[in-house]
Amino acid sequence: MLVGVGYRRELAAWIEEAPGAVNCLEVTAEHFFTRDQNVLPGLRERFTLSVHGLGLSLGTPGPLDAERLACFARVVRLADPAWISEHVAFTRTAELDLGHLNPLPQTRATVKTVAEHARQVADVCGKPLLLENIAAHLTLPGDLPEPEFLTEICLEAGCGLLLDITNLLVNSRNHQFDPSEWFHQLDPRLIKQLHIVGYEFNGDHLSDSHSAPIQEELIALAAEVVRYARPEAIILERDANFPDSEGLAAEIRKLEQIRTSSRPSDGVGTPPQ
Amino acid sequence: MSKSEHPVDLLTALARLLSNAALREAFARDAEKVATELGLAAADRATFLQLKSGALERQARVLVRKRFDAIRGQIPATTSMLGGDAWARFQTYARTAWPPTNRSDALHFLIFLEKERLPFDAMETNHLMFLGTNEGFCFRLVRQRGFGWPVLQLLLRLGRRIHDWRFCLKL
Repeated sequence: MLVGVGYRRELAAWIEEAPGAVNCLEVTAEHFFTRDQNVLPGLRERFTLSVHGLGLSLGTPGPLDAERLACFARVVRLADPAWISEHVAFTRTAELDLGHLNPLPQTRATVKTVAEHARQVADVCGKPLLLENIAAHLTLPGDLPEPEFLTEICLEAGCGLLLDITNLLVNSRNHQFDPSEWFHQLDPRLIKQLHIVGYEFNGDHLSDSHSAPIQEELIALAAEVVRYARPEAIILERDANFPDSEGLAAEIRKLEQIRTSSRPSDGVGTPPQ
Repeated sequence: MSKSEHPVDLLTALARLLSNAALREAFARDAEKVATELGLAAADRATFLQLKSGALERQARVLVRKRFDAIRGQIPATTSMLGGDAWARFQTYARTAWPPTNRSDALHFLIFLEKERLPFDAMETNHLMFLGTNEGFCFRLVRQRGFGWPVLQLLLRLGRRIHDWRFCLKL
């Protein structure tokens, strides 16, 4: 299983100074739409890359935003990643860009919309696509439970799942369900990659602030998922409150712990197909 | 054009709720009335009416926080001037304002602060306004509140880079 981090400007120096600490980087497409594109060829020479999208808004009915898709595809061409990923969410409507991920109604109609858009993204980019579960305070009534909803989308779109462990745990606490029972409803063959980062506790609910060290219960849940599904990569998704080199090394050790505690003998993974 | 000819779909209605605190308050008081006023599609009405006000508020707060995190790096001096009040001020501003880009969000926040006579850095306003133009350069004379000397700000565009020089006119 590949172990890596989400590439951020703030982590660039650490990545340069600690070769071998990670063997995989996830670059966020939107961070490279208008700047820093010259960084990508150097990264792809040294690491297995994946390109992660935030704003394609796969759940919005109607055509995908052509300009955003073109920008995304351009980053993919420059990075030449092993795979690409996006969220099962909507970030905009025809009249408004909300700028962040929002949940979708879990219906068959939504499955069709997201799957169609996902196929288009994979076709345009020419890379395998993974779809990610989001954290949301809001749930929209629908006729499918979330694991079935995600499974149907993946099957219809012919893509894999990027399971965000933190989003799963945060949702399970905020909406009171068993995260273990939840992920066991997924076909293990679909789970190709994991995201993980510490959560924050804000009074009466958890949030995925992407700014905290990974907690023990996340490690335990991730290890359980790895034993169940054997994903091919795990990525630390830190966006703020970046730790120093020692702190980063400690976070990577947690990822290694997840990897080694789950499989007695494990070679370097292959990119999701 | 009547509402029934072009009914609003669920995601459009949800986005309007998430971006407008006054509309969420109206929804909490009378969801049926808001659904009718929005011209919601009949097929989406039942789902819309089942939305929970508390959850909507929490989701909306996440969105506003993401916006705040996205703009504060563009206006570090103003954020520093506001100190611990910055987030609360931004939440007040964001109740109904939802500009389309991070730059315009930051700019509108500064304009809001100026209108409310709250601390802000006028040179950051000039910088953001310059970013939104095609001008090659501009000069601005700035008198900052609580700062004794005027400052001459020179903004220069060279290719895609913006240079921002500030000269204190200490006489």
